[in-house]
Amino acid sequence: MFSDISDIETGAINGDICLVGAGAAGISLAKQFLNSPHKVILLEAGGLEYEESTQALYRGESEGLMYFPLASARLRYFGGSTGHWGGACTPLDAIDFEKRGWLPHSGWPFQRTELEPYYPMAQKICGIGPFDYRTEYWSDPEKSPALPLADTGIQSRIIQNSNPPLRFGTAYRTDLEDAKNIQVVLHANVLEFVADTENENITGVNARNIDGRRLHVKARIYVLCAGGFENPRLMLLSNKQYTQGIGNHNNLVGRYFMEHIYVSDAGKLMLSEPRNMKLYERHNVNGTDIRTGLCLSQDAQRSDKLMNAWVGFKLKGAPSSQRRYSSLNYLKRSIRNGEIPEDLWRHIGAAIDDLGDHIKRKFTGDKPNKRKDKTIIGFSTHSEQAPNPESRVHLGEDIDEFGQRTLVLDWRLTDIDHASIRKTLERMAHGFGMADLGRIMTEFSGNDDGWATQDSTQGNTTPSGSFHQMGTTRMHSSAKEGVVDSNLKVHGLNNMYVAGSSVFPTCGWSNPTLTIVALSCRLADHLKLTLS
Amino acid sequence: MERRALLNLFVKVGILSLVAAKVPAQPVIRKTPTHGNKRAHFSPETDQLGRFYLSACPEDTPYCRKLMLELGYSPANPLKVDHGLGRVFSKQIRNDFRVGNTFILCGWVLSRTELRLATLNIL
Repeated sequence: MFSDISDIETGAINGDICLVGAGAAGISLAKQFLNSPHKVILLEAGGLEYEESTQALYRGESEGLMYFPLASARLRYFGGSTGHWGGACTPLDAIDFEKRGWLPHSGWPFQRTELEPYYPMAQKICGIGPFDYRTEYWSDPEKSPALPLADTGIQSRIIQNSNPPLRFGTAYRTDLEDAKNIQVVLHANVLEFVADTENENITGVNARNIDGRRLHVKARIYVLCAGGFENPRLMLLSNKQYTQGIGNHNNLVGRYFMEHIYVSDAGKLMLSEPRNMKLYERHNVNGTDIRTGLCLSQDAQRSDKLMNAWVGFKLKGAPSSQRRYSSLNYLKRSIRNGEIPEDLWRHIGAAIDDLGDHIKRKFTGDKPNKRKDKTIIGFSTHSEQAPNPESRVHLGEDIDEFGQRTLVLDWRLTDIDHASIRKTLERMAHGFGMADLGRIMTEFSGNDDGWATQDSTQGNTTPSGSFHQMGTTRMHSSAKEGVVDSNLKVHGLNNMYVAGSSVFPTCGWSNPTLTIVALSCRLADHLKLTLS
Repeated sequence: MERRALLNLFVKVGILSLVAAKVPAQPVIRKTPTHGNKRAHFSPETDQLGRFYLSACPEDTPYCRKLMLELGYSPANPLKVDHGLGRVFSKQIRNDFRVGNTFILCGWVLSRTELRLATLNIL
């Protein structure tokens, strides 16, 4: 059932579960309760479509490394940021869950095996192929062979693409509309969680629309699924009963902000002979759109003490094409919001990247170069960020239309981040040399401090984010080191949970959506047990 | 030297063929058709690469000279090219990458052996 906050005459509704946010996490959670005995209330701040006035509520500032404007980096309507995601799906690696001695603050409170039952469900929800990421499953020895990388410490690594990217709001609207036990309330901007400090419970949430209509929701369990920026913001704003904010006893809410570090021109690979690189282009295999890149094996990461990273070759369907798509959308949204991004030049460059070639081919009738055999290939990197408590979001001094403080992002990288990518590329170069496959040129020089000091002379290795906001309400078994426990329950509260990428303690290199959905499915199982 | 220039140089030098066991040290060491035993001469591009390496890493000059002496090479007495020599270099270069005996020249991660070979004609 769908309703609007303005339709609820009493200004109050009750249920068993209150979900705040109808993005990938919230919708995935709600789906797990379809036609169950439990009443689920799903609160969405926006409407069914993009609205400028609602989107403007996402504005904020950035005071650290250059980042996308906060109002354009995420979407505030039913479906959330799945309304502009690129569709890339891949699970985290086992090593991403481990406590790595060379990486402070690493380690999830459970291993990857804990998510194994939920990744296949997540694959279906994201609209992609089977849960099989083995190279041998997707490659073909004749048509799309994998590079012969045995014993080099390098492995090929698959990404499956939801193509076209599944918009959760469109795909699952009917399911939620038809479910008698699920009430979606639109334009319900949650302003605060109300707590009973004595019993350590949340007793309700207060929501409002822009016109002033109010709503109070009471439930047995509350789950915050509003995204990597808004999750910590709402917890910090809920400070009437817990003055430092909900779940913030140890000043951790908002800290450990992580992004996937994207470097567009990270280097070049010169192959010793032309090779068929089709596997590493974006192409379709048995109905599933895939791309393949390279990572260091988990053993190589352990032996060399490196973080995880993915190298993507600039071939057909490469990040330059995806980046053009993302940048065009981003520019469109920024224009709608009346904003001029600080990194305007970068997005214009990405948006017109190889557009000249497309126009030229239109007039000349030339076909694009379809040679599969490549010798010199550029590549980009997509890398894990080291958890850093000083990289954070916090409340600023600006006030929004509801009188609430907006968000400030202070994204920081350290020399560990730069050094890990630099050494990863050198390690890959060694692997290619050992196997007689070719030589690698890396743009990463020895100046590992440049990112930490925001040295503007980084040239080609200037880092960019990937629209993946993670880590700001991180998971840890101890309340001293995390905001939520292994079941995603907020430490110090009995009935509040957080879902989404804000709970990631580390982020690997993998695009987060598949893991967000898998974690949501796992949380749903936990909540069903709790409610019963 | 700009990276693009170095890349162009690599393409000309065909430095990667040094490591291909089936193509012994060619065209860095170019076969010169002669009457009988084949002798090799270095291309100008190889010399340029060698010069660039020595200017970037002058401390490696003694090792380059040592290689030259071991091979018995001089411009007046160019290397005799045979498959055995190519295989030795190829194996040694692969081993350089295995043990990390490499040097980064303008971003390119290269084997010390292949870089030292490029200096033989200019020492």
